[in-house]
Amino acid sequence: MENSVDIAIIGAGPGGLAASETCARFGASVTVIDEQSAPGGQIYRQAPENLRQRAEGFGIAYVDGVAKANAVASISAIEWRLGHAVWNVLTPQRTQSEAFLISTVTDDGLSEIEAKRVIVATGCYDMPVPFPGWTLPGVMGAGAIQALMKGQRVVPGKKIVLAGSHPLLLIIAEQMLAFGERPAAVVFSQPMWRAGRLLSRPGVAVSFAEPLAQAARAYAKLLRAGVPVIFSGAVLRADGNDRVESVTLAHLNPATGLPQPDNTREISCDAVGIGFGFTASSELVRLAGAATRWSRTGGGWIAVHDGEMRSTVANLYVAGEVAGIGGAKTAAAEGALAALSALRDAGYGVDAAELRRARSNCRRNRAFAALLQELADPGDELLRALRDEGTVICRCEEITKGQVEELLGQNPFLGTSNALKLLGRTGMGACQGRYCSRSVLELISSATGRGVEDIGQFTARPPVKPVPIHHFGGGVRD
Amino acid sequence: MMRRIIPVENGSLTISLELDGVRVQAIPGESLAGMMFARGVGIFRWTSGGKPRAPYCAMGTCFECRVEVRRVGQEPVVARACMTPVEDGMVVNTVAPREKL
Amino acid sequence: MSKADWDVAVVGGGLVGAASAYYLSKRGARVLLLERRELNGQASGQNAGSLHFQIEQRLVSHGEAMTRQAATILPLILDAIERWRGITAELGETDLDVVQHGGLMVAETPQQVATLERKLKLETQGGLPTRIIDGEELRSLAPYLSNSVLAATYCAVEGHGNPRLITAALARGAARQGTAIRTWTTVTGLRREEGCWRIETENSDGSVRREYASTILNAAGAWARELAALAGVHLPVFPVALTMNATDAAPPFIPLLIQHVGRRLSLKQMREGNLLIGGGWPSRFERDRNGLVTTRAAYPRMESIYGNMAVALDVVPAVARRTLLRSWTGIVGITADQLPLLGEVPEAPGFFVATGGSAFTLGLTYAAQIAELIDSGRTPLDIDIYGPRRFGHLNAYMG
Repeated sequence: MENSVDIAIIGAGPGGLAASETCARFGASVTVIDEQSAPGGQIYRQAPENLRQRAEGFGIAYVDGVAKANAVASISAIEWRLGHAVWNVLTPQRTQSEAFLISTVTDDGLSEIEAKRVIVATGCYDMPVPFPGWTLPGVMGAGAIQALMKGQRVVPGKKIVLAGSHPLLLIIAEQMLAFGERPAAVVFSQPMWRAGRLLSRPGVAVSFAEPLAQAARAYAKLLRAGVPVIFSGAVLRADGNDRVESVTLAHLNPATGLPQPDNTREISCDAVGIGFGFTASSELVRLAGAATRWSRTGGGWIAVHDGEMRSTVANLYVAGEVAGIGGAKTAAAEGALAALSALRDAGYGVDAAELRRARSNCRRNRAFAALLQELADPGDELLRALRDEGTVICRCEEITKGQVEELLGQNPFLGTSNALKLLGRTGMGACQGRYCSRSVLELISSATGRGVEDIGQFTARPPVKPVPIHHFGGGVRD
Repeated sequence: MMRRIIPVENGSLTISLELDGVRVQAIPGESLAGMMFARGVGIFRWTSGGKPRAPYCAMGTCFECRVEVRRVGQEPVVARACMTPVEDGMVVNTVAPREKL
Repeated sequence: MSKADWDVAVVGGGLVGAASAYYLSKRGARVLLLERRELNGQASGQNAGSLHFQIEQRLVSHGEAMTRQAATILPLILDAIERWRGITAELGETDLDVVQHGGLMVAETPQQVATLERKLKLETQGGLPTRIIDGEELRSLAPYLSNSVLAATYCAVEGHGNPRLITAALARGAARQGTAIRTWTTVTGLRREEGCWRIETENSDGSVRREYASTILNAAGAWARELAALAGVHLPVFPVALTMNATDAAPPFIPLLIQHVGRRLSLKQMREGNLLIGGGWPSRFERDRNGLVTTRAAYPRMESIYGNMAVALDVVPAVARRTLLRSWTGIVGITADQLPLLGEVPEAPGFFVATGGSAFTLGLTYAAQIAELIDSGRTPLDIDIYGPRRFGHLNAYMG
């Protein structure tokens, strides 16, 4: 196709930016597509111009990352489609042409991009963890609190409880302090010694000195500021009248890691950030027909790739969280490698040494990512223990755990995520199943004993993000 | 209470729009969710089951922050407050339980 | 007494298969229901759920002969109207989202109005209560219709069933009556042996099984041809992949089924408030070097999503306020004449088939007729013209 670009990159976070920079360096025509209005992804999310003050409060890595994102944004060879949400991707096989067809929607209408190769670097979102009261206004993903601070310079409350198992909670709390906001509490489900045990493994402390020092600094700052940092604890429920007003905190049994119902206390709060980890945004990869595999601690359904970021669909590449939760540095390393693979497949002369360096850079970062995944893992038993019969599983359709279990009981032949979606509506709402798919999988598994791969995931369907229908009256722009 | 974490000069509030029948001033480039949080709005919509909801992800994936948005000269549509920048003349309504078609 | 373990083995866990198992087991038959994957996994669960009793757009837009032929199914339609009315109570359920508040087939041009009138004449002759309405009456009945709609035929008993719910309810009913249901079980061999059918099956866990049934009912829908081939007969059933769309939920405002006489549109509002929009827009089968791959899911064509939304916007302007949540594909099986395929295959005694045509709207009727045919050798309705006998010439060479 004449109008198609060499490489389209979906996602302008660290992975997409590294990929686009590499592509541009080789002289390939490249289009970067992102739903946000500025590059940087979630981690380097930028506020609008009049709200950019005190960015240093988010730390040096943030300031550097934003600067880097803006430097890439100024590369004139890259075409930017910001404010574009991708809602469908058709492979060349399906368009019966030489190019992928990428459909996007903006506030103004629909448009399409044709590309010979596509790199998917769509990142991740807070792993949804249902518990009683998690639908109350004020309860949100921990990443949401960070996104609101970085992107809008607002906080969702004055007494914020951060709870979960991911070390990112420390960083968010530290960032809040930098803006004069003192978290009401930071609660980790792990016992304190767990981190120490991981770090005492040979080589770990040396290899990962920098991120570990960062976490230790944040921890010390919180203690100095008088923020309660609680280990072996979990938020059992959130209560309030139309808004969260308190959470019930349980002490976890040190032996089982499960809540002790007789050892709880209430904390007054007006917002809660839940951070047990992240879920990969792999829906475009699945929509294109590429294989994914289940990674319990690494982001749910993540893209299968060949070690050089080629997905199982020809000319479709993946980078970053889509290939397993790994953080910004991993994403950047994989973005560069995905670009090199795409360039090489397109016939560009990629230096073998550069490819080797990129591969080893990915490997090094993935080793740290694996350690972080292990450290952050709350364990399925804890997450299961947090939800009761009345807990909403599917937020969109307001379907509870009890209702799902009843359906499974009445319909013993129901054994896949898709079948439960069809009969029970879990996953039929606006979020397209992003917020219930993991719970649905676990509930079917408990009820039927079927394996994760057999239960499968909701089939990704277009539009992967809902499209206002009035746009279909307006035709398509190139 | 949700609020700004930096001081905002009145001079930067150059966008004028309507939120639930009230005229409000907003900062160019900020999202509806940012504007609403800065004004202390706690509930963005009500579910058909009658439950209040507000942003959960603040990054465009959960769709809990849906509000009704009418741009100048257009029909009202349902949009994500966290992904929709403020615009002059916009009319924004939090979505009530018995949303009118 | 033969060595059959089962009176009937029903192959295909969709609406027709589950309903047949229900009606057969109600008559006391020992029934085995076999499904390659999951119940309700294909067209039965993926279609738009219209209970459309007026003669369809696809049948009235290909000339007089086809329209007349289509009118021959009116006796089945009349049966279906009553069956859908009673099915919720019959199954002991409280709410299966079966709604028969009426339906409109709209026309936007004078030519389309003329087609409505032709169609109406045939329907009236066949005993289907339909009438043409326009002007004030149409506006007050359906204020959400665009001004471009000139007239519509109104059928007061049309509506929708819920494809999500009906098959599961039928399967539960069949199971209560003793039907053995085996999902994830593929039929790999069918052979006539000592007066009954030997069935080889393979479960997804790799285990294989051999069983005997006096009768086979092929309810495999789009895969009916492949299944029949195992029994050594040709059934010319073609897979057709169709696109469906769902919007976000809206407060109730469209109680009627909306169809179009000249454009591809079906539109209805389900219990939860979502609009289902379809009308026969094609999806595309996956292809590989050898051509179509009908064993894999097809995917909606972009042209179909755009086209279907555009018609919906033209006819019901308030659709503009909704968001498109999902577009997907259902794969239906049709015969070249688009009529039902219903009856015993003369070349293979004891091998019955029920598929083709409008197998959701008419699914309960197909099932009831075939159950009675298998059980008693007769049917209350004359279904001879839908029988596989009409394709008998294809089976002269099968062995």
